[in-house]
Amino acid sequence: MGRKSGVIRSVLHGEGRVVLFLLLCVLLAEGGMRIIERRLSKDVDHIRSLPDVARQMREHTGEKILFIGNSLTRCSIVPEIICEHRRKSGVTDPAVFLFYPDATNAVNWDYGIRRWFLNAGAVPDQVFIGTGPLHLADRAPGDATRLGAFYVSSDQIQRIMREDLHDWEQRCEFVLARLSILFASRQKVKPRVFGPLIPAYFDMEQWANLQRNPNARDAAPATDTFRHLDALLQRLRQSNISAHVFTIPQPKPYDLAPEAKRTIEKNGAHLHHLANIPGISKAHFKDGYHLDAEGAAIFSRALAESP
Amino acid sequence: MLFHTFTFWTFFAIVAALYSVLRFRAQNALLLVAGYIFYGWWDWRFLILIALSTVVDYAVGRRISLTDDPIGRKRWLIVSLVFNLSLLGVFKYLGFAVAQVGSLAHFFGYSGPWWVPHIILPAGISFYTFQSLAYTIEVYKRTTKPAPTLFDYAVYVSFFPQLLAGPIERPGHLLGQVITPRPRLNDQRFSEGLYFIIRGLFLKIVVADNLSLIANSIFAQPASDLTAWEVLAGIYAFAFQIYGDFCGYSTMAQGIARWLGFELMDNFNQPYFATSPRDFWRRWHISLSSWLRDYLFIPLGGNRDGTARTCRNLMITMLLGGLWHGASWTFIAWGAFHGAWLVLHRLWCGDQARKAPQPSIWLTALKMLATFHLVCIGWLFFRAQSMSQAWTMLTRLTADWHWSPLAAYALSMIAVFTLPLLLYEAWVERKGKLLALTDAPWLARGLVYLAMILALIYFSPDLPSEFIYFQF
Repeated sequence: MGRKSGVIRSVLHGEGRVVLFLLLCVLLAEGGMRIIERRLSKDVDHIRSLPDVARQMREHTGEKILFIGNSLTRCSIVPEIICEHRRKSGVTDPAVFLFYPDATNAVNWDYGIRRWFLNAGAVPDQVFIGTGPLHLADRAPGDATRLGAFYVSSDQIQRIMREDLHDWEQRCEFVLARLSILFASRQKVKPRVFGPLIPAYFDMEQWANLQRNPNARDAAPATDTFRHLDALLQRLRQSNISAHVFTIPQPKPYDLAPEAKRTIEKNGAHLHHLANIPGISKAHFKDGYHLDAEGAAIFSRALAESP
Repeated sequence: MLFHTFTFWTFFAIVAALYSVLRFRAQNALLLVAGYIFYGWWDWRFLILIALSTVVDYAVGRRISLTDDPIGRKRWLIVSLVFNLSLLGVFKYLGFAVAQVGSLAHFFGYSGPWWVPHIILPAGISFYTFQSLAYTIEVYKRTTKPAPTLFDYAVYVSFFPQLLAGPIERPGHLLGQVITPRPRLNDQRFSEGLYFIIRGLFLKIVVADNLSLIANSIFAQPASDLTAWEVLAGIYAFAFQIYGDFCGYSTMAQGIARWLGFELMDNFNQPYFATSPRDFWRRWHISLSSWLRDYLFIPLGGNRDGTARTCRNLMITMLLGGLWHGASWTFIAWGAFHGAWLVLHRLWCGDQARKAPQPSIWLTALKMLATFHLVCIGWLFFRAQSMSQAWTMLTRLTADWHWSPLAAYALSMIAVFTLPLLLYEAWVERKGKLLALTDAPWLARGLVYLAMILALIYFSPDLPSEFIYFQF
């Protein structure tokens, strides 16, 4: 008892007070972040809405179409056009569900569809995977924070540690992000603070990022692998879900890597190569990367009519 | 293994836990093993180099101490100088020298192929060779006793907190702590270590890494496309990037060492509050500037033989100081710029500065501003990829002062990341004590740490970047 109170006294009188104060403040900040997390960005709000999307999918009795992708898919798909076309084709009560968090690729989709949909008993009839030139490759499991916080379910932790996170830094990041929203959301706060404060913040950040990595949006190198695309398509086939992969127009024409095409074909998925469809011009790219509303309508019709 | 990575902190947690339960000799054995793991983590092949440097300088130190013959002592000192400078010469300067000879040969009409060796620069080589040289010089001067054993000396050379980027410690300071039992971690040492580590992480991750994105983006542009404001923003960004980066490393090194019971020297002392070049060099990279002063400037004659010789000695010291940073004309130009500035300052002011009465606060502020901007001109040469880039950027400062979105963004970001730091440093400067915050009430200290930790969480860039000084 005496020893115990001595330890407590030394903690409360020495630098322990500062450490304790910091711990309490960080815990408070964690709690606060959990409350306001969905207001931090539309992207986090979208991800946190996925359990609702899965619930709606479970409850829907008609045809269930799930679109998977990132901001390219979000800006290219008009769900009403897709549904209308399906109805005209004789499908009763089709519904489109969307899973398109920003800056994601096949790695995130492979884990994400299991966590948010398949593990939750939400099984779509068809899955459409939207991609640009690079998003099917096993790139950047690098973003261990987002994988830990948003995409990997508990039953997949062993798999990700074995297959994707070989680096101690990434593993620590992954674990911290699973435990702490404060840590996981750290990249979301910066734009919220600096956006209103710094002139031309968003444009200049994008510019600075491109300076750092000028080839980020160029064609995939031959060394890219497609393990996660393969795993995702295999999982869909096991669940008797019809899988489609569609390419989305970009200002520069492109084709998918031959290995990606082989992976799609091997798993019996349909490839809709719509990257170079007529009717889409450079003027349809509102920010040089994403389609505007008119481009999205043209593209959605082309996708709906694609055999 | 960078200080701001999980890998390092996992490593340190293991080392610190073991260290805390071991006795003195076993602690040293642990430090030696940890130092070699730390260094080998980067590239195990270069462990041979550091081991060789250790053995040679230890043996030379013994030889010097065992003889009273002045010629014999000098001979052994020369062996150490030649050995250490050859290491630096081969790994750091050989490629550059061969390339320069090639350029000269082409200038005189040679048109055949020219082989330039591309040698990997071992991390921290400039730091540990200088630390090792300090040992043999001090033993030669009889100002320090030789290390009792090779084992002790190896711990001194490979002490991991400061192995890769300093501070370049002196044997009288660090070796003394290696060979005597260190005090156990108590509340004061924990408090000081915590302060150093949080401040160091803040300087590196929040200040340096964020500003590096701006500096790198601007310096990557064709210099002729930049407006004067953009050039200025690029230079300011780099000035605070290099300060945050290097001071951050040194400060973390001090904190880590403090938790192990060691005290390392202060390497920075609010350098951007300097009021003259001489003052700047008393505050910037203190361990290198004092090394150059003690082992180069003073042996050359220092300021003992009249103004002309003093100026010559200053120029030689600063040119070699520039070259120490790397084999490039831009580093030589940076050294020459500082040498010339010190010479001019000396010719203009002489020793008046020491005798002058306390200037007014406005005059002091003006001097600080002028000194900072001249330091920034030096940084332009230091950061530029070539002399032509440095020159073009310098000339852009004389024209085209039009405001651009890039300039507005960059200068605002620089202000956001540096103003709180400068305000804090102004407070430290007024207090006249680097550890002033550790004497502040605990709540004030807690609030400052909290602000720094939140900034570390929220304003860290996506990817950690290497320390600039690792390449030297």
